[in-house]
Amino acid sequence: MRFVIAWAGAALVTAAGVGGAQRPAPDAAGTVLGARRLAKGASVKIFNPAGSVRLIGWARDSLLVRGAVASDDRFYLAGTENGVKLGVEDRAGAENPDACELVVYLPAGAQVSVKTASARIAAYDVSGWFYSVSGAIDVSGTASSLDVESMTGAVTIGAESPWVRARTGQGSLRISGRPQDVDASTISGLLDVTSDAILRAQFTSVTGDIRYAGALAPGAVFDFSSHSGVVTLVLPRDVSATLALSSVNGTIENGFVSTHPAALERRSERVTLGHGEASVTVRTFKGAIRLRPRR
Amino acid sequence: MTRTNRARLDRYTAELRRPVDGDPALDELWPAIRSRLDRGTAGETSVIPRPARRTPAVTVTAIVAAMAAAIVLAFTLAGVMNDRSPAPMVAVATNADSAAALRAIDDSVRAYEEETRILLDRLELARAVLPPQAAHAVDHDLAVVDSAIAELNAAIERHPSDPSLRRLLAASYRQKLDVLQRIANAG
Amino acid sequence: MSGVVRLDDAVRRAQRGDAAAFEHVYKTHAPAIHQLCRRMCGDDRIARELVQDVFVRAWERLSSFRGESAFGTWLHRLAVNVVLGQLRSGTRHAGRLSAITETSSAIRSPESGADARIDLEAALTRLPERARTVYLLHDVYGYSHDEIASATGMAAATSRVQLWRAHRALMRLLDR
Repeated sequence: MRFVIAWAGAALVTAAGVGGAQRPAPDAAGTVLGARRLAKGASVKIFNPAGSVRLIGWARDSLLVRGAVASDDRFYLAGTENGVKLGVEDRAGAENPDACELVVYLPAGAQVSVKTASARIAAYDVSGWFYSVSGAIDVSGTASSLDVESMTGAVTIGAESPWVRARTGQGSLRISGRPQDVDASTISGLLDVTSDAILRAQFTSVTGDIRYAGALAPGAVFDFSSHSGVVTLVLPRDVSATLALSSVNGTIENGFVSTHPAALERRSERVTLGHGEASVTVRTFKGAIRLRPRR
Repeated sequence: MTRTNRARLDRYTAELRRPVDGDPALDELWPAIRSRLDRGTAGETSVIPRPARRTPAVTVTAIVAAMAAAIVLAFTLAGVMNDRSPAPMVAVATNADSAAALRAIDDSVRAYEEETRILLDRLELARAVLPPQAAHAVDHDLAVVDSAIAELNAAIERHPSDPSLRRLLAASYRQKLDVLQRIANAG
Repeated sequence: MSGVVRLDDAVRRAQRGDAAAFEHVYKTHAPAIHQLCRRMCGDDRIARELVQDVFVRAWERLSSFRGESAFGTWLHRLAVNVVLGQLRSGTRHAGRLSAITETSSAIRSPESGADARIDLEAALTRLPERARTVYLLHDVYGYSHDEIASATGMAAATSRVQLWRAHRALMRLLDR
């Protein structure tokens, strides 16, 4: 990998005054590792095996990297204003690479691909693909799309985005904020969703519990599926939705008064609440299904 | 690769290049070889039996169905890999009885088998270079999903007309592909 | 066969149809060919079958050996083609992913030559087929990437990538 640091003008170097009520404060500490002009729709590829990667979208058409890199690791930054690669070179064969802390400011409309081994990822006002083998990932702010997965780490998404895809294995997966179209899945980790903005959703687990607490907008379509995890829906008392709940070997607990159970050979219930404007399907093999009104 | 690691790998490789000792057990193979040589000199066109061609002993419908399944898997896996190489073209037989159609299907099946083998190669290599903790976590995830798939398959055998079981099974297969994708992305 | 028989004499006599001379050729080269077959296909039983195939084909093609290279080199290349043909037509990849989920036996850093070879052989079996093939042909048996491309049907660039992957995987496996 090329070991290139591109320096922009002095006006691009300072990170002060980024603004935004919830935007993370700019780092005063940390060496400026690199900076360059970057177009708004540019793609940015970032790799850091260990330590942390913080990404902050800003309104400038430039990229700035601050951070602390271990002495015998190599930081690289290369590309054009339409596409940049940056990160820390991975020493082949190193089981425990030195932790490097990177803070990357980039145009809010840029599409990132971030990959780490154990490094934590935190992103604000950034869109794209976020992947870690074992690091935790935390995404917030506003994004055009989010694709987030960690093999063993926890994922937390508290963003406003029209499209969110999230995956974990054993780590927990927590979603809040204002996503609209959500595809989230865990293997055995907890899947915990709290949002009133979702319009379409597919939530899946194998053994992990799934918990949803939020409104169901008229016309929204939700699909919950778990093999043996407990699926709990905590809904407003005035929710308007039709819920088809079925479990092969699990129990169904309906905490709402107005129900129209349709007991079939298998454990199943069809529940109509309010005018039935949203559509919810819950399927488990042997996980319990719990429907509860929000207090 | 650092210079130190390169030197180590070179030492390992040098070990592999060292001459191998004779193995008396290999002498046992000579009679069979001699027998094949003799059969060859007796007039046969080739003393080496052709590899048994895996001529499908099933109907064309089953071949196409198996290929369709391989297509779905290959497209799905190919679609989630980082470098999305185009999947091979599919040759669809129009005349079930024609040898040419069978060959075309056979060629397509081989192409998808090769594509699947390439994808599985990548997955194995990616898993081999994972840190031990991550590799164990992945193994655990796969075991969890495979256990669920096995339970569902057993339930489907008992209740083959239950659509909800098949939907649950499809969801489990999707999750297995997700795990495989995560392994591949680690590479 | 009495007396000391020079290998090149044995080859010339085998080329004239002397099967007894060919037996001497076989006994001289079988260990190396068996080792090649076993390393490339990862299975001793199949390797022994391949050894037979190799020498039968060598007998058929002996007339094409003109002494431009050492006989061992010529035989080695013929063996590689036989093995690759078997790998292309074989169906050994089914269930391979489940095989790698088995707990791996400890692969120690080599302290002696014999230990090193045992550890390496074990590590080789854990490589995927293409990476293992390229590593063996390039690093151990001295093929160029163009020659590997010609023999295997993969592009030379693919061969380079497979070699890089093999190096990384071997370093990881041998460092545990």
